[in-house]
Amino acid sequence: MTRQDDRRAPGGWPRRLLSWLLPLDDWTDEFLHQLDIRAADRRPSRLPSALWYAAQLARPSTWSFIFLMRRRRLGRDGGGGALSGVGMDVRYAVRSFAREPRAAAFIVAALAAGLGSVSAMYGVAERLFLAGPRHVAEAHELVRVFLSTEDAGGVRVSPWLPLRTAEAIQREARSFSGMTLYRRDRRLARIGPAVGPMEVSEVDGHYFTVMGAVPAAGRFFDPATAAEGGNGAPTVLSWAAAAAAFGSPGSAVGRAVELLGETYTVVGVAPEGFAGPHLDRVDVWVPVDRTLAEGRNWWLVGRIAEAERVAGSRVRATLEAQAIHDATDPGRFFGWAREGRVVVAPIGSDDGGAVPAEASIARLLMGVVVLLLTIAVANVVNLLLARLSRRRRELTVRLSLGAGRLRLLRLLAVESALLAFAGAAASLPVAYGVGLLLRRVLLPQVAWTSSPLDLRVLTCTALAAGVTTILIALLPARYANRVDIAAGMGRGRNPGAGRHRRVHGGLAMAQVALSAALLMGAGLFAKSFWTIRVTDLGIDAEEILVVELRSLDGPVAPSGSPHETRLYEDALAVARGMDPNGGAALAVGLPFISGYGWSIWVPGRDSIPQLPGGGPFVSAVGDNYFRTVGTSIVRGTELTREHVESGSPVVVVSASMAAALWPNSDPLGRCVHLMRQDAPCSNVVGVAEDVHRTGYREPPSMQFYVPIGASESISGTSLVVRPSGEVPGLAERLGADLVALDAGIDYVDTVRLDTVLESQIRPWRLGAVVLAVAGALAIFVAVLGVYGVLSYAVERRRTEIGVRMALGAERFGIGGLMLRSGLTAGAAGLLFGIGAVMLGGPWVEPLLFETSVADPLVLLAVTASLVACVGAACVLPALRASSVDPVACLRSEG
Amino acid sequence: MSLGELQNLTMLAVARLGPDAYAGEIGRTLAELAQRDLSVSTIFVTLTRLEDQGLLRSTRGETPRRGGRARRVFEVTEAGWDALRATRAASERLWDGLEPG
Repeated sequence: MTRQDDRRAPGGWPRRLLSWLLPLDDWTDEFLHQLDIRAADRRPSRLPSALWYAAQLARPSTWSFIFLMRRRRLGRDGGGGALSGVGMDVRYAVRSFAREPRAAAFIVAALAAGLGSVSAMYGVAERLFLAGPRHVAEAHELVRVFLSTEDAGGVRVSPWLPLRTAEAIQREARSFSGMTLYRRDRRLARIGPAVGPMEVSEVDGHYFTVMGAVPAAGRFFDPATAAEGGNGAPTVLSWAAAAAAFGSPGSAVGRAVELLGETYTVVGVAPEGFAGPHLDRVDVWVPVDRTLAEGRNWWLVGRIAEAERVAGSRVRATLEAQAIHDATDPGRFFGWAREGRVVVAPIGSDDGGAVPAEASIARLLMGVVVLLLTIAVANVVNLLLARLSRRRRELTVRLSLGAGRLRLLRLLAVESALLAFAGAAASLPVAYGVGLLLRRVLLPQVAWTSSPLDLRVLTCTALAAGVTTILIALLPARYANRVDIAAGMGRGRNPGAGRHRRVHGGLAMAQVALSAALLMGAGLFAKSFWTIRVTDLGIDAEEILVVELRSLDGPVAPSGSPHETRLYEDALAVARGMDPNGGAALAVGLPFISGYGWSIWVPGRDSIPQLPGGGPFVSAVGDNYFRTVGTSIVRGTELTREHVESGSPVVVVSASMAAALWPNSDPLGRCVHLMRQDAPCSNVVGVAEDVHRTGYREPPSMQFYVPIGASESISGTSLVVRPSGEVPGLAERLGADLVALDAGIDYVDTVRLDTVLESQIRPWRLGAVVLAVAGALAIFVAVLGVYGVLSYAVERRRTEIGVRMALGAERFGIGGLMLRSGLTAGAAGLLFGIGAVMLGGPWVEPLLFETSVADPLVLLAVTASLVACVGAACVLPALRASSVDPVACLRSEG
Repeated sequence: MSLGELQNLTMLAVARLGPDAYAGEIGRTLAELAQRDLSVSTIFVTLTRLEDQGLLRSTRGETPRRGGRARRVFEVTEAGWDALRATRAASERLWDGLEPG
């Protein structure tokens, strides 16, 4: 029995495997023959034939024989040994690619795009989910404690806990080996020569112990030293802040830091990149200010105790913390917390106790870039197969001259490895650029300490390149293994041509399908982004500047004091004088910045109805406020200078509030008692459109506006400015002029209101941008793929086309035939791609903003753009097919 | 050069078989005369190694019947005979003077 008889051999797969493992020659044939004789001589009652062959396979001597035969073959093929043979293959591959620079450049570019994107995304994903917070010991043991409360608006999960609750859980819970409470704030600070807003974290004395961090210089403060309040209290600087202010972390120790009128002494510097348990940058850590702590909310983080980890559950910790919370009076300002349920969630949770949107989006993008790499690999494989098909004659000549198949496979493997290596090298700038872009767009607040091309990313690139080498070598290797010498040397058709055509067509279809899926994703994210951008917030956030006067001692003047009023009045006058055609107004309780709730009473009503968004929320605003911020008055009038100056009790209510309190009747002139039931009547003088207060996704809430200065119970005045666009550099000029207003003003904080919303919009912006770029790359690669497949088909079918034409086929018909075959593959790919996205709807839709995966506009745009691109890719090959000269073609075949 | 036991037996079988020294026959000879029932792979590995060491040489033999397969026939090289003689001499020196009880 010979190799050709393998399929009929009685030994089943073990014999076929043995036959496959051995190189082809008469000596190995004889070996198999002797085995077959032995197998036939066995008595029928013994092992089944396949098992007997499997037993032969298990013999060490069989493997010795396989090894000896393989070594003999390599020695014969490689001349001076395997290594020198590889060197020769490398030289040959380089020369052959140099002869086809365009194909080689395309392959390297496709691989660079795929590998670079994967590496860049890995760098971000590694920081987000794999590495955990920098310099925090055993971060997986850390958990955040949340309070979940329920009201008319539904369940709200908040990371904020009243001090008493947080301290009681910290003191009594035994499920944690350590707990720390802290909060974060943006405050004006003087560190060294620099004055500016800093990210300040107010932490208790257990913070650094719970984090398990080691200082880069000096020491951290502990419960004993953290209690030292007043001037000279200890503070810890971040590595970056210390380096920026004092040149080096070591020289920062012992220096003074000025913050809110207090002077702190730097006792230590945190290690580079340390930001506590979160990703966001922190500049300064100061001890908890006990005089103000009681009235504030705190974040609570704990480290699950050893025993609990073994039990593998946060459940007991939750139950214990809940029991402690139930037994604790949170204090008179924190009535909302009494009925709250404690939720213990992993440290990586966002402020709502859920997986952060950035993490979900980054996971999706990781999938996207892997898809992109897959498309690139599919295309490269397609090109290599087409190239191999052209080299059929060369391969058969090599085989007929005595080169072994192993030798051919090695040549192809070397070519693939060379391409993957060149692709990996070219991917490094791509990885760097994309990594930098992702860091800036997705996570600008993260304290990045390493380059986008650090060792981990380079390792990922190397691994991805290795996998790519295998992937792009597999199909060509299979092809080379099946090259038939007789058919290859003859002029007849390649017996495998039909199968290869199907492989090419299948790969092109797969590319179109993946491109369609990516384009659908890009379209859906772009639609979400667009939907957000056109969401009517009730306020023109993107046009409003919020200006606040700051002093190192905290507020520039006591809140509500005549001094503060005079300063902001002056600032208002400066702003109005500087840009007369713009808008400027004063306000307390701006949407997205601060919020205040007041109780109200309405004559004739026993209770105030609850709206899903909560409330009533109050803002105190000056004249021209509504016009400045772009909130339209639906009925009545806005608050005027007369209302503000006269101190008359008037109020403007939101449309939802008016509809809830006085359904089907005119709200104007109605009476509302504010804060106290016996307070004088405030008359409704206007109805304003509803305004979003915290974000894009928000149900209607009760909102009302009172004249600024009507009450001192709310504080924190801001100047809102709407630039007309006629004054260049308005924000900078305003800042310079306002600092000069008063000696107490150290700094003017100017932010555009929509920057506060930036973090909410960021995931969709990122998704739209990255998916659009990936989709564009994918469509480019797919178009090239379709073009390559059709060109290849035209080349192969030249004779057939010539015969058809000689038999009377029209040129137009031949072109149409090629066009149809390309468009059919494209249409099938499109259907598969769109179908896959539709099937993935339940997973994709939560990532979108009020957009369905079956959005007709997106479907139409994706279909139209793909059909247009695939059609364009088919035109040239179709034209080439229709211009085939039948006479020349038949003569060359004759 | 001194041979191992299996190598020695295989070389002797090849030498005895002469023009019939192909793998199957060598295996049968070893089984009959040396009482060594060796697996096919052991015989092939031993023959391959001996050939690689230059102690055996192989040629493609006559096709035994029409349509049958050509078999590889082995013969002992000069170096092979030297090795056989050296192994035998070493063995005889060790046996010299010994009277097994």
